[in-house]
Amino acid sequence: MSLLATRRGFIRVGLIGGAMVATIPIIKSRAASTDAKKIGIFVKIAPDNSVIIGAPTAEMGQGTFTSMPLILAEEMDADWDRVSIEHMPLSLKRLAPDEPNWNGGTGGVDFAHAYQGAGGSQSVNRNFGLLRNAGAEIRDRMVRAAAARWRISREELRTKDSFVIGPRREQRAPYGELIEAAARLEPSAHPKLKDPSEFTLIGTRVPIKGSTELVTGAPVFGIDKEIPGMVHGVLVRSPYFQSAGPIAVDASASRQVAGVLDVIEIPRQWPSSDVETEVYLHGAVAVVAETLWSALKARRLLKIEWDKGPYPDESTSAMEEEYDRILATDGEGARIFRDDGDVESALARSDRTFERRYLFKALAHVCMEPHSAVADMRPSERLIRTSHQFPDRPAKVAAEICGFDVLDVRVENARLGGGFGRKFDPDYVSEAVFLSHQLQRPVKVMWTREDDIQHDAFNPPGLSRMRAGVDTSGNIVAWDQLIAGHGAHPDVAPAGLVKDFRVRSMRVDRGMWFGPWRGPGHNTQAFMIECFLDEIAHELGEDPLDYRLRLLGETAEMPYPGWGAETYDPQRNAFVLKLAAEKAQWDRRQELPEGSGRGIASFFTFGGYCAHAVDVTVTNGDFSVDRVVSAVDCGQPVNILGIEAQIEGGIVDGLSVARRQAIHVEGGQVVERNYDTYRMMRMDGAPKHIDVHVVPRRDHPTGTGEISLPPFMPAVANAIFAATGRRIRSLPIADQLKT
Amino acid sequence: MMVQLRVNDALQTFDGDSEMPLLWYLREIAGLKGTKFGCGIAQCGACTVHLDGVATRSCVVPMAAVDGSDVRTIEGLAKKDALHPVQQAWIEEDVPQCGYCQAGQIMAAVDLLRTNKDPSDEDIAQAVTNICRCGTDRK
Repeated sequence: MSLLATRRGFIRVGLIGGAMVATIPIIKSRAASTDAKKIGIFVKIAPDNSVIIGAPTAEMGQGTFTSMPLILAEEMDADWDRVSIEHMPLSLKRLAPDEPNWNGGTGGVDFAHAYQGAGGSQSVNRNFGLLRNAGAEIRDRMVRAAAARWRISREELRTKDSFVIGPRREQRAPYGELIEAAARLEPSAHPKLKDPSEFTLIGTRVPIKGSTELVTGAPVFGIDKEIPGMVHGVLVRSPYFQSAGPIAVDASASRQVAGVLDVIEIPRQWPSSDVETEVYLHGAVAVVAETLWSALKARRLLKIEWDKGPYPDESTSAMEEEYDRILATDGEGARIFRDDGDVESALARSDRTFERRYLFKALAHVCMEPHSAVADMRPSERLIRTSHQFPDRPAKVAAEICGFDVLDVRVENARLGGGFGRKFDPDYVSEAVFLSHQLQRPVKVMWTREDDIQHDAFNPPGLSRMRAGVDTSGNIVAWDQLIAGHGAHPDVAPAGLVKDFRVRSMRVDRGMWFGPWRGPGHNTQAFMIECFLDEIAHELGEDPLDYRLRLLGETAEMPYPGWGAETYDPQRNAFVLKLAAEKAQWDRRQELPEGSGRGIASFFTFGGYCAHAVDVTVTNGDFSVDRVVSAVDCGQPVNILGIEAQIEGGIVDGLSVARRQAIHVEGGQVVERNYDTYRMMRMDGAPKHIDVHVVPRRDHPTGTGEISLPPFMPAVANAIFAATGRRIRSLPIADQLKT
Repeated sequence: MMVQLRVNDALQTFDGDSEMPLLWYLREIAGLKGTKFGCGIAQCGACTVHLDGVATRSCVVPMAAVDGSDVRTIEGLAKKDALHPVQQAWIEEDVPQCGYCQAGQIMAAVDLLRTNKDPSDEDIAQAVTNICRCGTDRK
């Protein structure tokens, strides 16, 4: 492979195998590279005018395989029907000690060209400008190449569907005919971006790319991947939290199973404040066999005595007693996350004060695709095939376990059958790497659903005490939250809107493993804040919508110190509330029949604003969601169809959580094992109608994968109150309405 | 025991462990990865195939039980040049998000339409009980 033409400038353009290839490094490499592994986002235009666009981040249902290329194709004026997507391999580089990295620090090993992590709703947000500029550069080259060919001014040319079109009828050139000339041009000085009014793809309704593969069963997921010659490993992990691993193993029966090759003990390895490591290994026993079935069958025959770890008697009830103790001592020793003004004095001065407590259980991720990874750690191969949200982490695991240079590890990241934050963790990859390194042959590790639920990085449970004080006009003048159980995301409203404002939290670390779960922190914080606001409004005899709008007031945009956004704008928040209310006919909610009610809530999550107005009907101690009207402000909408899918998905997921989902601990072990006890909602429980309204803004776009679920759960709880007068202060709702 | 079965119209024989669920035969031996593993206890429906024409959760059907049977998987649903109308509808409605549960959902939907040409929303909810965490249910 050879790269021709210029390597200066923003993107590199060259001819490879007769096609024009533009590679787009975000961080300029010190040396130009011709190694395919080290190419960032790329665009390939073939002589037949087909276009391939490389997608840097993993697809897990959030739609980035469509939304990211769409941004580039827009500025390129590419024929979208002839654009196909290729998932880019992981590409890392070693930074100079003072070179900025993606984590906000400097130095270390980092993504070489484009940000390749998928999490925290950042894919579109972080790459929007880059993709637009790259598309504009390509389009500009095509125009200049055509202008030179026809010897006319570029001002006379326009582009459409991968063609440059001139004023005369014969002046129509497909990009594919211009690639040789275009590749040899100097980089554009200032490629002109479209005015948003000229967009023909961005902001429209574009079906996802790749759906044919999904409906025909193509092997596109991580769990479908193989490496020739591989063997299969399944593990029994210790059921006890932070267990060091097996004390005694009787594998005699397992070894008798046909096809079993080995039984291997794995001691726990985990990062902690004392131990710095990229490797996450649960204390476990692995059965390695020629076939998956042999391994699964032999696993059942293992007899293992486990180290019970530091928390052998842990239970949900003991944890909840500890939350009560924390609140009873007024959070003595709690960490202060935010402390504006003097909240205690403000509470003392208030005309009325309110106090409520909200409780929620731990949640599992239950991605539909059980975790899986196949690794070949022979020094000649150094290959991992898996589905992961942050593919740099598997590479770092392999480097550490096998002593490789991390830049020499190949990670081929496949489509994820859901991620939701769980596939941010590298434990399942660590296991495949460990076994392959030990056996010096390719090993595929697959988890069962029971493995997944028992060894999840759970969404943390907790209990919150909310206190607020209002003045004689009912304005909130003091706001105080004390969380028992887990950390805090203290910067969401009413932070910044109430002068005397405090958020404290006291972690309860009793062995359970916690990790990011769709809308980390926000998923439960929204429930507490938006239910509490609803309660205050009701106590004051105010309309819950008007009361929220009063709180948001006329406050202008303010700096936002939390994750995923630079600023928070109360007026944009108010706008989505008003829009959802208007479309849901909020002012006619009294006309709903007996037993039905309409509730509202909104939340700001990672830069996006979302409000839901929800209608429920409560009968026989159960409830149904009759209608959801949602309003979304995610800046410039990129793909309306994709946004609607994310909002609807968050609603259905949130309803599933709110109804039944809870992880319990008993005797130091997770109680729930599979979908029979960790209950997912099915189609018969889904809302009957969902209307999503996307605000047509021009601001920088923000992600939508995580913004819908947080405000949905309080909107449901508030609707149940409107229907019945019963407050839901504990999730899941489960059988609370039966009593 | 020697098990003979048809998979997507091709005759196959299997002389391995007859306790092995059909799901693992399809994925690991026949190389048909479209049928998905989700729970192993017939709860989620990701592994749904047509067994003698009827939607069946293949994770709990041992190979011993499929001797002489006809199995159709998602890979065998489309005719040579044309997708099945349900697959076509799935694309047109832009249903998939992560896509993992979709093969099972499609196989369940095809079976429903075999017995009920014009199902109501309630019929669909009763017949298609597959789990989807992305929340594509409403499509």
